[in-house]
Amino acid sequence: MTESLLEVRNLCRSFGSMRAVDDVSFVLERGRIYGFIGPNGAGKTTTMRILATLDVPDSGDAVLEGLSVLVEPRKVRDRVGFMSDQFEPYANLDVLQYLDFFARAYGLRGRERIDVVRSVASFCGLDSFATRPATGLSKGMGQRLHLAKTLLHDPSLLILDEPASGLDPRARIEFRALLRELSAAGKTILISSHILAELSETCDGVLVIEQGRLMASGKIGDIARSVRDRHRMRMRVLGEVEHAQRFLVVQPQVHEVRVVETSVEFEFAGDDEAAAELLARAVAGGLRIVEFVAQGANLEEIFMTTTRGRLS
Amino acid sequence: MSTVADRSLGFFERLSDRVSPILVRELQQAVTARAFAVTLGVASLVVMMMAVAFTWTDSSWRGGELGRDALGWCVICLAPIAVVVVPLQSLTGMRQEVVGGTAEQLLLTKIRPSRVALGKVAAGLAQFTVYLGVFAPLFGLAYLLRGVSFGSILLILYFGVLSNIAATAFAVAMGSLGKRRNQQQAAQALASIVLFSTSTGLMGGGYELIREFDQLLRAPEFWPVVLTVTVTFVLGTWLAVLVATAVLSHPYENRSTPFRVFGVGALAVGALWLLFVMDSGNRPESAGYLSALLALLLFPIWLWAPCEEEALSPRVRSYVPLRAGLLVAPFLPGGGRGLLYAVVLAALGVALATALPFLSTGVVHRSAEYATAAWLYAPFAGGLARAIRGRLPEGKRWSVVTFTTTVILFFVFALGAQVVLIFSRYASASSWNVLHIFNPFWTVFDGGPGWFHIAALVVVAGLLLLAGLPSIFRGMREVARAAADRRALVD
Repeated sequence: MTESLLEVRNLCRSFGSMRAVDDVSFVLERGRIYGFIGPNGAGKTTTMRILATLDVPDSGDAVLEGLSVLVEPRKVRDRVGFMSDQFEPYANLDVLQYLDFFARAYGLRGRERIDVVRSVASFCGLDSFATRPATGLSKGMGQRLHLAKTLLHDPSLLILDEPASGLDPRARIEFRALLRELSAAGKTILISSHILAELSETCDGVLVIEQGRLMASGKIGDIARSVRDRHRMRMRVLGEVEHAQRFLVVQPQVHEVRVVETSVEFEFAGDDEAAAELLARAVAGGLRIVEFVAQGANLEEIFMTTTRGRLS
Repeated sequence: MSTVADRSLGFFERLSDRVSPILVRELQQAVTARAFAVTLGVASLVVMMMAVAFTWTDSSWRGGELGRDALGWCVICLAPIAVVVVPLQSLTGMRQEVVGGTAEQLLLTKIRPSRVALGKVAAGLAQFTVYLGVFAPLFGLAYLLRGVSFGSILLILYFGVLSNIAATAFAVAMGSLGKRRNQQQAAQALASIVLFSTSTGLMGGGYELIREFDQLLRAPEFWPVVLTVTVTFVLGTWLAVLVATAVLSHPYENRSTPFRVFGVGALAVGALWLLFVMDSGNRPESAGYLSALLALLLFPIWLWAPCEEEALSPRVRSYVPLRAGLLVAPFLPGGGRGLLYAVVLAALGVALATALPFLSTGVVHRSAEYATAAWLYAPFAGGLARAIRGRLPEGKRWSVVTFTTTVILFFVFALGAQVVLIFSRYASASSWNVLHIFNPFWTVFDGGPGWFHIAALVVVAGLLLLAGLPSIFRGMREVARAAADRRALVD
């Protein structure tokens, strides 16, 4: 059973008459990656800033490893790494000097500081950029440096606000690989992004927010099931695919059957039990099935279903 | 290309184990910046040219005051470096950190905003020291050419360092100000005007300054003057660092207490100055005027305190001292506690003007009346501000509205009182009328307030304070509860 790392309870934050965060509650488990999605102005950044202790809620609280962001912000900061969407490194410093400065700012000294700076720089792929000016890096390398700075004090929760924004495809893929490694190392990651396809490949769970309200949260598959009563399924068969099509159209809870190359795709309204029965009937009916799968949950679909494009 | 593994840590990285990382980083940036190298090169060239010129000049020229001329040129060259070049560099750095979000990123580390500001001031001083090193040969030459004493050179160096510290602190504060671009530009323009005019003044008066320093060295007022200037620079630097710290901190953090402590600290420094610098013969008179001057200079602090929102922010509540009592409460944020603070500060100010000279010399000078009247405006205006603030919604901007309204009300009443007296009642402007209590400038400066006037101020301030009492009690109760909650958490 996974251990919960962060518990957000009824978080509210208003700016004047605008309610930026409205009664938001969720739990993040240790070692998982969570996508935080929502339209612009939905309250993602405000929520993240509260979790990073850079803002305070009007009411509610967030507890990280038993520490309240309100009551013990300094201790929380030791456990949180916040990578904001704004990154402007110091001029006239090289990559290693930049990291060394922040390592010292996080209270690391002596040999420990040197070792941490080196290992974090290596982890983030900055090895061969050590003497390059921090301001002269490409966007992708800049984001790596930003991430490296965020990792220096070994936080257990990483909050990343739009880290992939402006990155080219290769940089995105490399960045995603870094996140997976961090997750494998036991770090919990909360990441906001507008690139939903990318999040669906990286994230274990997702939080959907709109107008400051949490519209959905949980594993992508679970949310997908909760927001629609049908799943898209695919059946690949050997032999005549039309035969499979004819079989499916008369089955209960099966809709919108269509042939795609050697497979049949259809909407299925039943649960896992009903799906198993359908498969058994198909095999008994003489279909030579080589693949029978629920289509991967589509984050874009979840997003469009759970949100209405409203802004706070 | 070197890699992380084979790159050895340099001097600066090793240094940052021992001193402020902000200072180290600022120095790292400075020494690798082209501007620093260019300025240093130009300064070295100027020093060399001047050294050659003075060495080749006939020593009998200018009546044997060639050394003084050389020292004068040192002042002319160093003044813009001390109060313009180095401070503006700090201002630009600060502004870039605020705009680029690095200042906020630093809040997540173990570095407090005050350390950021102080680190920048220290870095400015370190840079200025490098420039002083470049000019060292010229100082030496000035001494060798005769006409100036070693003491004068030391005094110039001392005041140069003080000016650099204060100017850099001011520049750092101005660099941190403003959320919008136009506000930042306005702050930068203001800072530039102040720094450039100070530099121009110092450059223009360079020779005169050296002459005055020579005289000062032989005068009995040497130590009082040096101490007074030092204390003024220290207080100015302290205030500038507080401003930068407050701006860099988040609004929900405790930004009030440092300013409130500064108010009391300024009075304490004033008391020490009176006791240890001022001779006992002049102490009673000086005490009154100094106290009145402090009442005027500290007005933004004692008037802002009652204008604050009444409740503690959740963040501040979590920092309330466990044993918070009556002594601590006036220093914690909140308008009710702020009103109490204004009263406490006024009482201390009046004590500075009356009790201190009386206890140390047995005499109270008439200037104490000015001080008392001036300080009575603290509870008076504070009570008025609290009454206004209590009727406005929560939110920082309403605190600003209250502050501004209170100041405007005083000006309106000040003018109104004059108009009523002069045009309606045909009374002489110098005869005191009850309307004048709304006019601090008239009451304090026009012929002296007199104890009757003070009594009237006490009555009005007392009435306003009575109206503010519930707010004070609520403020005290909130602190007591917050402390109890924290104790319960700890236990």
